[in-house]
Amino acid sequence: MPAPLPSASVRHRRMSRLVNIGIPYLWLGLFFLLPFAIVLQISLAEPALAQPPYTALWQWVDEGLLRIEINLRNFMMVAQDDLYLSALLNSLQVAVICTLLCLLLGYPMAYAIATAPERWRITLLMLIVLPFWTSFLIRVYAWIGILKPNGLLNDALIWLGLIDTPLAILHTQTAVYIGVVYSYLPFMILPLYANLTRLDPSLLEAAADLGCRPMRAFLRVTLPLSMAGIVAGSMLVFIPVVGEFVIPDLLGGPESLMVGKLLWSEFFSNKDWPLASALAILLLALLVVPFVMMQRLQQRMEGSRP
Amino acid sequence: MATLAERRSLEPWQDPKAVPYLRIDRVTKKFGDVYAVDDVSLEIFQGEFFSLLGSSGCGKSTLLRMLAGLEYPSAGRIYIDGVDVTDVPAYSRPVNMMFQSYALFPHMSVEQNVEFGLKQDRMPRRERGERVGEMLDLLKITELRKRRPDQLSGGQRQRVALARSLAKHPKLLLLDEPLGALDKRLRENTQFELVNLQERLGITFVTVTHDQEEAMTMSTRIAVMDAGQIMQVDTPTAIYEFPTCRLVAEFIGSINLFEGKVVATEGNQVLVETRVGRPMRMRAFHPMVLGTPVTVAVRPEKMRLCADFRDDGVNQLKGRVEDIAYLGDVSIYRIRVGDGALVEMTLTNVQPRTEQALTWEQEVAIEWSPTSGVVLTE
Amino acid sequence: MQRTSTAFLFVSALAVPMISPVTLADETLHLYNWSDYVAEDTLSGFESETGIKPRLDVYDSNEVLEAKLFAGSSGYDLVFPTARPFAARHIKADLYLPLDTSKLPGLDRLDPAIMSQLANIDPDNAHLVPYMWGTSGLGINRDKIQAALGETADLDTWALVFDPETASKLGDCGISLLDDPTEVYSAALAYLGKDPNSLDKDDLDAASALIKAIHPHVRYFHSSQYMSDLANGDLCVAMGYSGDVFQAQSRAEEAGKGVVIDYVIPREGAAVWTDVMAIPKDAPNPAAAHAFIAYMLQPAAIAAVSNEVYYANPNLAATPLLDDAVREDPAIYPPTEVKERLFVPSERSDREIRDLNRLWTRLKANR
Repeated sequence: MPAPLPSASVRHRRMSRLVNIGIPYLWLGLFFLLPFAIVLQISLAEPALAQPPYTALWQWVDEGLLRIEINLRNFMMVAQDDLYLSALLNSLQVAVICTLLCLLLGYPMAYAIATAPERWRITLLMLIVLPFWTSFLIRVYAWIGILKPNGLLNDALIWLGLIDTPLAILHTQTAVYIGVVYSYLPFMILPLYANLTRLDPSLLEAAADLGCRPMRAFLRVTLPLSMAGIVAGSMLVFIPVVGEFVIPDLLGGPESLMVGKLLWSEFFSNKDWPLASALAILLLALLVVPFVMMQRLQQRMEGSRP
Repeated sequence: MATLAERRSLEPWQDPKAVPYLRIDRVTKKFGDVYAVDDVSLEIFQGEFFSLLGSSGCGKSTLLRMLAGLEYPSAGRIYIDGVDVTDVPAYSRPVNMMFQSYALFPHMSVEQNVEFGLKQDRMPRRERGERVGEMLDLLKITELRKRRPDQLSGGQRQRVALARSLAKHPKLLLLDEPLGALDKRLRENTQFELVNLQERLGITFVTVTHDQEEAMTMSTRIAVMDAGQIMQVDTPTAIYEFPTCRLVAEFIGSINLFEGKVVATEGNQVLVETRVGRPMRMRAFHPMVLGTPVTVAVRPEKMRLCADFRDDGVNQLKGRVEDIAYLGDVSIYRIRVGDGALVEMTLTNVQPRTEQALTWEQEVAIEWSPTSGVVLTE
Repeated sequence: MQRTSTAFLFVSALAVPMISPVTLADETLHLYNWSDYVAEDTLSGFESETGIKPRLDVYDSNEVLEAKLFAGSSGYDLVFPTARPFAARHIKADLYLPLDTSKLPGLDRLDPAIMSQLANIDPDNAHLVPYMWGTSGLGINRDKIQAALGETADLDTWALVFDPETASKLGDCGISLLDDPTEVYSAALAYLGKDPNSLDKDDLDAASALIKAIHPHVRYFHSSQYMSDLANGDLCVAMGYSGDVFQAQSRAEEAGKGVVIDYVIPREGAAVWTDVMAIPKDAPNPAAAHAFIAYMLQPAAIAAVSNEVYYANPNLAATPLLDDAVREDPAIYPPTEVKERLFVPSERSDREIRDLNRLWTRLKANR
C-alpha cells in the first residue's frame, strides 16, 4: 500500500487543529456570547405590551431607511434608583459574608479530609457530595422545617431548656446565611480538598525541622500554598451567591432584598424585560471584576515559572 | 604510622572513654505489626560523617526521621549531646535535616527559604541577612537568591536545601539521600564538596543512602542495615575488607563466596573444605570449632593468575574463562571452576586489551592469599 | 405526536383490521393551569368524552404563566390566568385567539353579572370564559387570635392585620400578607374607608404609611407559603385567597393536631377575582382547547371542580349540583349583603402597575 499523500495528511492535521481550537470558541459563542448579545439587546429596548414584551432595536421604516433606537433609560434608572444599588450592595454583603463563612467552615473540613487516612477519604468526600443527589429545592425546603418557629431547631432548643419562646430565625437574614452556607459549602470544600491533597507533606516536616511550630507552619506554608484553592472555592461560592434567588425567596424575610429577587420581580411581576436585562448586565459586569482579579492572581502565581 | 592517641582522636569509636554526641539506645519503631526499626543501638561521635546504608525498606530512613523528631520511637531512647530528646518534637530539636525531595518551599525565593529557620528563632534582621549571605556564599548560590525553587536545576536545588539546613548552624545535620536526585557526574563532584564542607564546619553528619559507593567515599563510618536491624557498623575499609556476615559482604561490591566447613585450625588460620575443590586456608579473627559451617569470602580483585598451579596447592582453583567484561581500567573475568561454580576475578588492564593473554574458553589457574579474604560464620 | 399516531394506526390496522382506525384517539391537549385547580376526575372525564388526551402542566403564579405567554411559542393550548390585571393586558397585547362560540354550547349558563364585568376588559367576551372566582380575605386561627386578643375580639375585620396595635399583639403568633401590591393596597384602602381602587396620591400615601407601621409585625409577604404555615399553626392570621385558605383548613383537619382555620371576608370589603380560560394565539391545537372549554361548561363537570377546590364557579346551572357544604358556605358563595361589599379591582396601566410594584419592593425591604 502506498503511503497517503503528504499533502492530504497535512491538510487533515490542519483540519483537526482547526476543529480543536474551533470547538471551544464555538461553544463560547453559542452559549455565552449569543445569549449575552440577546440580553444586551433587550436591555437597550423599551418595554411594550406585545409579544415579545419589548420594542425592536431596529426597524425598516421606509425603503432604505433603517431606524435604530437605543434606550439607555434602563441603565440610568438602575444607576440612579437607590433601590437597585442597595439590593446590589446587600447581595454583595451576603455573598462576602457567606464566602467567608464557607471558607471558615470549609477549610478545616477540606483539611481534615485531605489529611485523613487514604481509605477514609472517598467516604468522607462522598458525605460532602451526597446531598447533591437530592434536589436543591427540597434541601432548602427542609431548612424551612428546621428553622420555623415550631420547627426542629426551636423544638430541640426548648426541650433542652435553652430558650423559652421560639427564636425567629426563618424569614430573617440569618436564615439566608444558614441556607446559603449550607448549600454552597461543598463548592468551597472540593477545590480546597483538591488543592490540599497535592500539598507535599514533607514541606510541613521541613518547616517543623527548621523550628516552626504547627500553627505557624500552617500560616506560613499550608495557607499560602493553598491560596489557589481558596481563590477557586471563594469564586465558586461568591459568584453564584451574588445572584442567588431561591434561598432568599424561601428562607429570607422581606428585608433580605437581593438583586436576584429584584431581577425576578422586574422580569415577572413588572414584565419589564428591558430593565431586568439591564440589571443582569450590570450584575455581570460587577462579577467580572473579581473574576479578572482572580485571573491576575493566578497569572502572577504561575507567571514566575519559566 | 599514627600514634595511638592520634588514631583515637580520628577514630573516637575506638576510645572507650570518648563520649558519643548522638546515642541511640535500643530504639524500635513499629508501624502496625511491622518492625521498621528493630532494637537498634548506635553511638555517633562529634565530627563524624556517618552513613546509614541499606536497600529501600531496610528502616534507615525511619531511623533518620526519628532522629529528626518526625517519627517517635515505639521503644528506646535517643540522646543528643547527653540530653534525652526522645519525646522532644521536631521543632524543638537542635538538629536539622536535608530532605530527599529537598522540600523547598515553592512559594518562597531561595533567600526566603534559607532565612526560614532563622526567622523561627527570632534572629534579628541584620544578623539574619548576614547569615543568609554567608550560607549563599558557602554554597556558591548568591546569584540565585531571588529565584523560586521551580526556576532552579536539580543541582541548584540541592545546594539551596543544604544551605537552608545549615543556616541555623546545627551541630548535627541529617541528610536523607542527599545526592539521590542528582545525575551521576554531578553526584561524584558533590560527594567531595559535601565532605569538604563537613570537615570545614565540623558538624556531625548522619546521612541515609542506598548507594554503597557514595557511602564508601564520604563516610567515617557506615552502618549497614537490613530488615530494621544493623548488620555491621564500621569504617568503609573494614566494611569492605572484613565484612562480618554474608549480607554485608554481598551488599558492598561483588564477592566470591565458597560454602564449606572448618576441617583444621593452624594458629590463626583455618582450613576450610568447600565443594569447589581442594581445601582453602584462610586467616580467621576468631577461634573456630572444627566442623563449623562457614563461608569463605574473597573479593574478585584479590584473585590473581596462578603461575605455578600445584595439585596440592591451597587457595588455588582451575577453570575456564566463560565471560569477560571489559570496563576500561579493569576487566572482569568469570571463570567456571571445579563443580560448576562461577568465580569472578578482576584484573587491571596493564596491557592494551588486544594484547592481553586471557581470552574466552581459555583454561586458567587462579589463586589468592590466606589474608585476602575472610571466613564468615553466618 | 404525528409519528406516534401514524405508527399506532399502522400497527392497529395490521393487528385488528376489523376496528375502524378513524378515531381522534391520539389527539393531545396541552393545559397550563394552577396547581390543584381541577377535580380528580376532570381530566379522565374529558378524555373519555372526547377521546382527546389532556396533558396538564401547572404553575403557581400568574407571572410565570405571563412570562411564557409573552415569550411566545409556549406550546400550550389552554391557559387559566386571573382576569385582572393579567388576562386584561394579554388581550391588549393580542396574545389570545378569539373564541369560536359555535363550538361552545352552554355559554348562556354563565352568570351574566360576571360576564358583563369581564366585558370591561374583553369586549363582547370575545376571548375569555370565566372558570372560577373567589375573594381575597383573611385566613385565621381563631384560637390563637383569641388567646392573644381576648375572647371578644372582632375577627371579620382588616384591623387584624392593619391596626398597628392589634398587629403588634399578633406579630408573635404570625402574620403574613400576600406578596401582591394591588391586593394589599386595596385591602389597606378598604380598611381606611377609602375607595379600594383609588389612585389618588394622598390615599396611596396613607395606605403606604399604614403598611409601614405594621411592617415590623409581618413575618413575610408571600402568595402561597401561608397555606402550609396556617395549617401547621405557624401563622395566626394570613391574608390569602379564599380557596387556598380552605385548602389550609382541610389540611389542618387531616393533620388532626387541633389546628382550626377559618376564612373570613372582612366587613370593610374585599377584592373579588376571576380566573378565566383563554387560548393562546399560537396554540397548537385550538380545536381541542375549545372542546375542553365546552366540557367545563357542562354543569356537572364544573360543579365537581368547585366541590374539590372550594372556589365558586360562574355557571348558574351548576349551583344545584354543588355539595351543600360548598353551596351554603357564605365564604364561598357569599350572601347578597356580603356580595355588595366586594369590589372588583379596576384596571391600571402598565406604568402604574410598575410604579406600584417598585414602591412595594421598597416598602417590603424597608428601604
